[in-house]
Amino acid sequence: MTEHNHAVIPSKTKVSTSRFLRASGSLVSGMLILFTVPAATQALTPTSARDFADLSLEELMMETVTSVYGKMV
Amino acid sequence: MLLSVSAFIEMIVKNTRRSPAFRFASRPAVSGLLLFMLAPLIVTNLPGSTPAVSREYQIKAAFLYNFTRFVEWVPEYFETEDSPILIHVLGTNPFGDELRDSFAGREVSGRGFKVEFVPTFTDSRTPHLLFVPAGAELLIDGDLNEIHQQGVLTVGESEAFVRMGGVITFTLHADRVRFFVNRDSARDANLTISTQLLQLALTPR
Repeated sequence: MTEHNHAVIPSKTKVSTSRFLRASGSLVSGMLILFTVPAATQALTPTSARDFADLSLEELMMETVTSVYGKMV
Repeated sequence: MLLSVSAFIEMIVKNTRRSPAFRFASRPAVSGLLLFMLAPLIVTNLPGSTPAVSREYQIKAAFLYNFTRFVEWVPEYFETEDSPILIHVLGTNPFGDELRDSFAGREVSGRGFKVEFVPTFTDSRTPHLLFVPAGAELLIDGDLNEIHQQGVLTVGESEAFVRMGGVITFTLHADRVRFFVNRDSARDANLTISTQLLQLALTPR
């Protein structure tokens, strides 16, 4: 009869693995958001004079000279 | 000494990990939300993310293009039926490449655009639109009225320019770009300004 050497994984390690997976998941989702949100926001916001020139006069008059995050550019 | 410093750091890390705030922020949903809120701030503050030209001049460049859509020049001021509308910027160029880019490939009433940056008005051939940045008024050799007699739409951005009788003057009002129109000067320059543009203009006090 062959004796199998069953390795017993301590419960602490199991918890660490699950925490690691959860952390990785949140990191990946965070990175996705980090890259997609600004890209989407930028696609909707005029960022050049050419973009602004596509707006109507009325729309142009609503644009503030200070950027959306309050940073003077 | 080193040991005590490392022990101190270890104590801070331990206590931070135990803190309810850290546990709350460690949750995947919460950390994702935090990243979502911080992402735009991080990206807009990355080096190189700030445009070389200020937003104010990007908007003013777009206004200049819009003015050409709402102002009519007498055909005699053009060599041919499809001659481009000549835009001149006097003195320093506050637009960088943005002004040229905003006009590139566009047409108004079958006319394209040509943008040039000139050191003085007398050095150049007569444009259809002359933009005079603040401080460049001194570069105008002679009277603005003489320039208007040549059918030029003059656009400036200073009080001095208003006093000189420029046709359109930009101003900043509640953080937004607005403009005044001097109808007498427009008449002197034989320009027809659309009612829509006149209605959006500020009235000088």
